[in-house]
Amino acid sequence: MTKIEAMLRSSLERWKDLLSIEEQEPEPGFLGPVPYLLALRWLIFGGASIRFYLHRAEYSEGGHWVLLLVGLAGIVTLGATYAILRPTLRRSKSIRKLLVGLDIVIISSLYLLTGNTQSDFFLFYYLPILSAGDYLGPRGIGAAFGGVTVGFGCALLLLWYISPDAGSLTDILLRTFAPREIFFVSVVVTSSLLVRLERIQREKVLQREYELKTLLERREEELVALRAIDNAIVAQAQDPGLSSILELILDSALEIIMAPIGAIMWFNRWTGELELATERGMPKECRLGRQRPGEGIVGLAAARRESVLVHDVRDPKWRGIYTCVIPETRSELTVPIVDDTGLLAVFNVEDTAVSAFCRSDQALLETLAVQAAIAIHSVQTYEKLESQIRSLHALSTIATRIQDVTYTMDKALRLLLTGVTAGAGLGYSRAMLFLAEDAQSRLEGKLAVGAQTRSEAESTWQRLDAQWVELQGTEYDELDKLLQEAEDFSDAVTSDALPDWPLSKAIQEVSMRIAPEAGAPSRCMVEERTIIVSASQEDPFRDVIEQVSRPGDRGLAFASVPLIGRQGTLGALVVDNRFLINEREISEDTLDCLEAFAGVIAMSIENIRMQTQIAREKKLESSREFTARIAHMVGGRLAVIKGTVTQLRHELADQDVPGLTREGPIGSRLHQLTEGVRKAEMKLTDLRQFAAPLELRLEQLNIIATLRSAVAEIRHIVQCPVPIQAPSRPILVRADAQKMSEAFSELILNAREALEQAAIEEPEIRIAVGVQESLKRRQSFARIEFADNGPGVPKERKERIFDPFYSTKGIGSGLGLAIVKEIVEEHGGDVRENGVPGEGACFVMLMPIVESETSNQQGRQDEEDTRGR
Amino acid sequence: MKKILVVDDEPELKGQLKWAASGEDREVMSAESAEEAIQLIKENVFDVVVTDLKMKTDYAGLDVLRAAKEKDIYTQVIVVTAYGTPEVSVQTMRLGAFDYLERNAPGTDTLDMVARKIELALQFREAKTRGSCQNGWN
Repeated sequence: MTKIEAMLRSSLERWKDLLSIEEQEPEPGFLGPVPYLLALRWLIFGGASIRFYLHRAEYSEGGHWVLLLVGLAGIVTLGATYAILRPTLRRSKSIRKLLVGLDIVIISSLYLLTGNTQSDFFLFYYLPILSAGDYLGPRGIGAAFGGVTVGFGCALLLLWYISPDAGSLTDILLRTFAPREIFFVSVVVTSSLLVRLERIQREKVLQREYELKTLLERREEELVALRAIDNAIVAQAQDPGLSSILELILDSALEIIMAPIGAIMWFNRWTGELELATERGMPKECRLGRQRPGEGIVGLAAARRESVLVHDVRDPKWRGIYTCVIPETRSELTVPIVDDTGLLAVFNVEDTAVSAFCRSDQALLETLAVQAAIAIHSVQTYEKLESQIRSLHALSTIATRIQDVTYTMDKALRLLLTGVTAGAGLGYSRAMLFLAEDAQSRLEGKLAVGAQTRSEAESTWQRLDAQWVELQGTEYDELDKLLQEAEDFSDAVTSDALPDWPLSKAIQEVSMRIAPEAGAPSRCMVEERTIIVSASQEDPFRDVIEQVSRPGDRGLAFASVPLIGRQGTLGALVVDNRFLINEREISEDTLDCLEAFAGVIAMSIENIRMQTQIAREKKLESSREFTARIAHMVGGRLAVIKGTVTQLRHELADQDVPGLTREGPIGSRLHQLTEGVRKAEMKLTDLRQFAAPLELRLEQLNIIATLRSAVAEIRHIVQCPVPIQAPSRPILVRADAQKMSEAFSELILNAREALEQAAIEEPEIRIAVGVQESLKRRQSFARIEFADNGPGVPKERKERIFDPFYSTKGIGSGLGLAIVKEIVEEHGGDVRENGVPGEGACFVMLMPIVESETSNQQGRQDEEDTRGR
Repeated sequence: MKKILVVDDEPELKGQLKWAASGEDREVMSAESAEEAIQLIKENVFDVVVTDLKMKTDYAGLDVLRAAKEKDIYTQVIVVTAYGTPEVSVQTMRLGAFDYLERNAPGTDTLDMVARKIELALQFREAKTRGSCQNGWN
């Protein structure tokens, strides 16, 4: 039982209690004391007749039949007295008539017999008149009294006039109207007036009873209606149809208060407008109406959050407020539906009659408004729960799938973004993924799922709808099918069998600086929280959206979620609802699930990166072992060969064979052998260096100085300009000088070889040194760029060139760059190639900077300066 | 008669070392493992030992070195290795080796160098033993 029902029930009980007090019916017919007075009179006359009988000797006339009459009269009088005193008998109308008739007969005959006409006249006539009250009614009694009194007065006057010896008028009046009579009359009149008042009171009670009954009936109706609505809400919980519940509420209201026109208008918090949710009796033109809070009676109720009851809309006090929707309307009642979060909807009824609605109608609507709020809440809660469950189910399905170790980063991310955009998942329209690169200084687009243009969106959704219809009745889950498609698509894109989505390709061209003024994605990373940008807010990121999505996409809401991993923020996920029919708002309630997805995305990225790292390290390790063994074996063979050549030389010399000098025939061949072995041994040294584990001897050094000396050492080999652009201030790192030098040399020599291979006419290797602040200022990096004007590195090779034994050069060992990478990473730095393919390679090395004492002091000084300001 | 021991688990290398060590008034013995070498050292007094570093174990040559030095402190030991690190060379010298040679150093005629080092080692031993004899017994 709802709270409202309980309240109504207790009210009903109270009213019923009130009514039960008044259960006795008032007596019909004789008013109040009249029966008792009649009984009294008959007793008196009964007594008088008995006295008469006892003194019968004095009355000679009549004789026996008089006695008989008297006796009869006495008996009848007693019988009548009894009858009038029994309530059950006097209730009957026929008995009452009999008693009244009897009364007149008895009194008349007694008067005739006794000859006493005067003083009991009033008693004689007035009592029957009173007793005939239920026939005459209050006015009738008054008229009869008045008539009899006036008649009697006239008769007296006449008597006085025609009879000379009757005395003065005063005497007659005094004689006629004796105190005894006056007393009796006054008693009777007063009591009859009192009785009349009581009757009026009773009538009032009856009237009130009638009203209460009507009210009760109405409350019963309301209760029934509320119960029906409650049941509907519960029943609909499995399949919530908010509009059907609202219709039920509207129908119940209109039925109970008997209004012909009504509507429930939904308040759209996103647009701030009132939209028609359901209506009855409205003409067609009005059905698409929207109103803003403040417009019209409806708007007034909405703005004030108070009910408005209008008896006549033409009344001047509503002028300027009332906006005419239906011309025939005269009365209007509007009730807002609110909850603790604010306005939800507005309940409006109208009637063509004036003052058609009253306060109790308003009370009913307000009660129903509460019901409606409950219904809306429960439906919304259900929908929210359902969508959360759906989202998390999707997330869990996807998370399980991507545990598979064969999944590439591209596949895992594609699946996760599919989950974000699928109807069976979070249901956003588009999802774009950006990852932080370059020591967290730039955000680069990695992948996107969603449509670039409206037509693309619509064709995709049509296809998905058709697919969904197909899947009905089969065992296939819509989500599974989508995920399978995503996996296949990923394979196809990776192997270049299919091109990526246009939006995704466009996103991959995007590279943004990470700075708070660069837009929501940067900000969300810095502040480590989700940022929702609503449609009305400006944001620099919208420039990027416009760039990647062809129509002018400036006016929509989007949300940016940071991808927070264990080791920091990896990037940002941006979602929006472009092209959806309602372009629905991104509300805070849906953020939980989105953040869960973002968490899994971050985790997957970290996992896969770690896996790749481990795999690479393993490969490196096994390459090392292999190399060490090969080196040892080959070294052994080479040593044997070398030794054999020595022995051969000695042998030949012992036998005095000519031509052993270097220029001679045998000597030159021997020399060639030796040379060959030497070259092989040089390669062997490389291999051995690679096979040996890297042990760094760290010291604090100025990396610029190390670089310059390394360049100086190999300048004669390189034989091309190697300009170095570096700041004058030293940049201090903790590093192994020897190894760093090797790394620098390798990078320069590697560039040189590439330039030579491509036969560049004016080869040049430019080196630039700078400092790069990381996003959160936790670690600054020295940034050393090696740029050449060669052919560059194609996109798909950018990462592979650092793999051991990967070589595009015929004679190379393929170890050079792998060693460089190992050295740099062992120092806590990073090296990658990010030149533009076709315009030259650009190797970027990042080395963590250490703050030396002097530079620390300098830094502190700077800080103090700025704080002081 | 100078006694020289060469130790290497690779037969060809062992053969070459033997060739480098041999000459007039030289008796060359060979072993293919550290254990064999240590056994021979027990039974003989060698003037010079030339041993590979890595045989069955990574530092088998050092065992040979220790054994030889234990037997006769003036025995000169030359350690030949395929690839050395500074740490290993330091340790080898500390243990008393006469020299430490890298087999695959590009551009060096290793075998020739071994032969020359053996010559030098013999002379050094001569000098040392004569010196000690002079110091010790007289």
